[in-house]
Amino acid sequence: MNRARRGLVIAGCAAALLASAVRGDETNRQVLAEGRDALFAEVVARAQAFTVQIETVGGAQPLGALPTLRTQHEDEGTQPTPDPNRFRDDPGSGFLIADGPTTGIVYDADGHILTSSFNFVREPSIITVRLPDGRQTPATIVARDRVRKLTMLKVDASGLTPPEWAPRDQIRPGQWAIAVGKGLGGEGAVSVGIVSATGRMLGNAIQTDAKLSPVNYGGPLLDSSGRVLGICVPMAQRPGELAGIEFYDAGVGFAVPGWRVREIAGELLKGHNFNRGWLGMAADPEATDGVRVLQTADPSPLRSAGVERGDYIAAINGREIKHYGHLVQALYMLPAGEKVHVQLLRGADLIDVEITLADNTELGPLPPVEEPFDPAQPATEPEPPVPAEELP
Amino acid sequence: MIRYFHRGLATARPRPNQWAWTALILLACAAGARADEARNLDALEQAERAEAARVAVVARITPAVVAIYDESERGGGSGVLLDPTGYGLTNFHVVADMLESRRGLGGLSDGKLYPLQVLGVDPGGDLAMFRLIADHEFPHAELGDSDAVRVGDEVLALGNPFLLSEDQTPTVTFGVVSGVNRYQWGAGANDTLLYSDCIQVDAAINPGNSGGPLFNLAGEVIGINGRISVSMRGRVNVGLGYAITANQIRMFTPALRAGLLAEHGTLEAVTRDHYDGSVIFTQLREDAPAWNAGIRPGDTLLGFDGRTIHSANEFASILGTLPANWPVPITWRRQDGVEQHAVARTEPIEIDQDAPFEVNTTVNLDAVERVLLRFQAASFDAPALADWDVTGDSSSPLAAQALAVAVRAHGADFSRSAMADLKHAGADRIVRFDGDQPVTSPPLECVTADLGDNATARMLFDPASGALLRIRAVDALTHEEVILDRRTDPDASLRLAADASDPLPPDLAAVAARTVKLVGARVGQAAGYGCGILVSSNGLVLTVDSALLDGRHVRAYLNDGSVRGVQSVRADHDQQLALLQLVAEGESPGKYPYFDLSGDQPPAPRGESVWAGGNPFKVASGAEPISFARGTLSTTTRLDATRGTQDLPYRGRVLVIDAITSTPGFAGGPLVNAGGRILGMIGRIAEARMTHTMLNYAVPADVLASFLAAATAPAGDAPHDTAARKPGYHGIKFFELGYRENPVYVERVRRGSPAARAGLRTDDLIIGADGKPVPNLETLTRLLDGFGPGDTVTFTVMRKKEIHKFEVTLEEEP
Repeated sequence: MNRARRGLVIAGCAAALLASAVRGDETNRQVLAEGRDALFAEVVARAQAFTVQIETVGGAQPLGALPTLRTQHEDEGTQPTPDPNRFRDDPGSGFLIADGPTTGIVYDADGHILTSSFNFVREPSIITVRLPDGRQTPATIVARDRVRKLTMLKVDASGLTPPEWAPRDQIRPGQWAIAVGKGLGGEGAVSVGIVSATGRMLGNAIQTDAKLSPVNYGGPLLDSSGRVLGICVPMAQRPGELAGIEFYDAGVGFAVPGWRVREIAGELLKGHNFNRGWLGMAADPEATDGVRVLQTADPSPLRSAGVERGDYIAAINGREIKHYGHLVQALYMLPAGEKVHVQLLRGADLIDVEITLADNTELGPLPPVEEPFDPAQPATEPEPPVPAEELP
Repeated sequence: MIRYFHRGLATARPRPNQWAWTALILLACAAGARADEARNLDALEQAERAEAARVAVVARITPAVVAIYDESERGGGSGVLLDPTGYGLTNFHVVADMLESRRGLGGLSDGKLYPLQVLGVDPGGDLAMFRLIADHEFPHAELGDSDAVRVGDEVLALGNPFLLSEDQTPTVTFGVVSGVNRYQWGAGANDTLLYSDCIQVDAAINPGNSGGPLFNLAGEVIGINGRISVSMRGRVNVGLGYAITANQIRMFTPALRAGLLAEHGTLEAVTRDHYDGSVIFTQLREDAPAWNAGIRPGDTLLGFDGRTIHSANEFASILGTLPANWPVPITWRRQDGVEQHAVARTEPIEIDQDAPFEVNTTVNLDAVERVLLRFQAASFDAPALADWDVTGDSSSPLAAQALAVAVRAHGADFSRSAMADLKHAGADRIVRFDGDQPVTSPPLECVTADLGDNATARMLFDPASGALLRIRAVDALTHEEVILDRRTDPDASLRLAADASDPLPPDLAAVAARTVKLVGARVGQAAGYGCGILVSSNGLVLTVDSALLDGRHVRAYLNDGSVRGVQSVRADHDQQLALLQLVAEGESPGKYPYFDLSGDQPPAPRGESVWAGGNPFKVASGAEPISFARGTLSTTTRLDATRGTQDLPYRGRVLVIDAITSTPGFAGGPLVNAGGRILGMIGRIAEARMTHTMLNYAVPADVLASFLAAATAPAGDAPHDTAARKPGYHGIKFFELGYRENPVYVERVRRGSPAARAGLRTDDLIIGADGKPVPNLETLTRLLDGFGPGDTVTFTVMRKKEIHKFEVTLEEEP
């Protein structure tokens, strides 16, 4: 336990003591209630040392559509018919983007700040960071992970205090999860929940029922000792930088866990951006007989791996693909450059290929299909009819 | 053999910093805090221990939770396993699309998908039973006693919201019981899927949670989650979830296990609420159960199924929990004033069900007849047996055993001989005796006695009186269950602490007693209902100023069920507060309990636990009690230019909380802390401008206090200075490009103006004012509205990649 924590605990205790002094007949449960509030107060006070407020000015106009929950397919924007323009990364939601201050956390003493890329969807022209000591300073974007929705900023500062991260093996469902965010300004807003699950979004997220929203996206999710469990980000099981905002305050929130953050941050520090990874194919989202390749982009990772029209995608990284939703769920958290293991079903044969997911800029258009492609037709050439044997 | 249900759930893992706590406490005392350190150590330790206990319970119950999918794996819900052979429960609406094949898949937290077979269904109560198939035993959970659930109890909801689980591990959400005995009307094609007498929780329940279990902190299933209230945001949690109770489920499990269609019962009688608060029978079908029991239109319903009836809603709600052909006691008063009792038997409600299910006609008619005979034989104020309600097959040997225990334990009220009898039944370690009084430590609440032959009887005692309240006999082999409930004064508390580790919430009954439900006509967009808080013993009620108050016939429901008219005393549109006077008809104004706003109202600290009371979605109809949601005080901020919405004139301080109160009907309700102190009053539904999220907030108590003081001040005292302030002059002309979101660039600064003197120049970019961010001109304009001549505004300016601050003292407009 460090010195700062001790001081805070004392403050927390004093508050509890004062509270107890004014009450008469306390039961154990009241004592417990006080202990809880003292714990929360301590965590919140502790977070001040590494939580920053981020303000942005300028950038694109926010989207004007009303918030609605959309289906996966609507958000995907996929069409069963091949469309050469479909490999775009759409923000993916008609949600209004917050334009107030947002939250970030100190990553290292030298002025690197981690936050959610949600805060920069509008590509703001000016970013400023209000450091824990109150100083406001301009910031630049070092790199972004558009898949895990993290962004690293750099400010001209030194001697900052990075947080303590909760060890991976000590994060358990049911434990307290406390979010602190600066979206409402001031010293930050607190929301208390529990860890709902630890291995969400293909291992990229902790789930919590603390109320997460633009108020605390980019800020820390903390355990009851004030250690950082993860960085709060909007997420849903589909790609798109705004995916998951429809869950705000609904008791379904996500945070990229510390161990994953540090993996990603290592790359971000080098200026490496993570973009969404694409296979470069068209399929029918409504098909009921599995995911069949209707067309592949030229060039595309699939085409160069020899995938043909009519092949079925049977599995990705060992996850069975029974329908289009499964395909989206197998890929939405994988950035371009990541290798995936694809199992194809061609006729009766299972074919295993390894494919490196592409950035959308590396994909060619989907070639037009001259003749209407009939998915019902067998993919492989029909076997030539066996010549009738001449009967003697 | 007897065992205690220990109060603690699990032993806390000692944390390495425990010594540090001790040291700190000593420091705190040395610093002059004058309280007892042991208690404080206790508080922090208990908080940590409770967290560890909860983590342990979650780990224990997680393996029993099922993620349910249809065969195509496109849709699904949740479920819970109730025995090692794979029998489990879910909602009917989860399996409704699987009925053709009766097949699906069930995922467990071991990561595996198991074949799932749909067994019996109960469309009326939105229940279904399924079985997972495997060649091994399954982990499972136990059904608890939902009658023991109290408002404020902590609960855990497990399930698969939005089918987020890729590895089949469930989502766990935590909350409190917001209300009990709630009624949610039927839905769907047959107007089925009734949620009768159900549990309302504020734990996050979302689409996909359907069919999943609601646990108490002892890890017992107290209900099946299946329904939520939704707002305009769409199908996401806004703090109101509903669970079918475990005790209702018990009545249907025999049919469900047998793969049958379970039927609910009706009495073919309609009641309505009379203006005086009584419940009157208005329509009865001749030759139907209620009629045959002797009830006639105009009679007053007093008691039903052992409960005193306060509203027509409550009658419908209890009836909705009963199977067809079920005996149910009714007490009513004839128009000639004579009170009558009878036991009526419900008739099946026919439902149009396409699915290939056999109707369950085998509901132990024999047993039912026996129960009826028993009720008819015993007069209602006579001996022991009639003092018990029987749930289950009263003709089975198990029932006889349980009854024997009941008679022995209850009949003798814990005399030595009774205890000897109990010992004989296997109870040898319950209590030690001191004279004739049983002394128990810990307080005896729950004892399990072994009845032999794999049967056990779990007995629940009232810890205060020591009286035996309930016996549940269970045969572990046949899963047969008989429950005996002691008939007592229906209003007497049968509540039993399911778990002692949850914190005592504030006395929520006392909070409810100081809150009124306001009901009026719906006006425009505003809901026709809300709340108010009593602030004086003579019936002054503080509420939010809203369109509700504009309507005529606004009524106030007190917590005791009585109704009052209201008169407006004072309304302040700017502060959005209104003061009302309750009008009692034909009686002198009563002494009302009230929240005291007269003294000092110290600010509440961030992170403090808070409870919000209200009537969201008008869930509490008529005389039913209000709902509660628990949360944390997130922050204190101002509803000023950067946060408020245009339709909210209030600009003052607000307490932002993380409980969801931005739902219709919450406004005007109290916000209290764990000690029950009033912290504020829930405000109207508002959106935070900068985050585009609904804001959950309360107007702080000190603001309420000063409004109250001004509104009740003797005439002549100007209560509120509403004179508009003159705008202040700074001398800056901004670039105006016509977009709302345009950054605020300085086009020109008038020479000699305050801004020029402070050092502002053309092309400066203003990014902040008064310490608040300024992303656009509209925000700045609204911010500056709060400043007049003579006020100093600090502008934060970006100039050539550097941040500067300028203090501008505004002047009179030249």
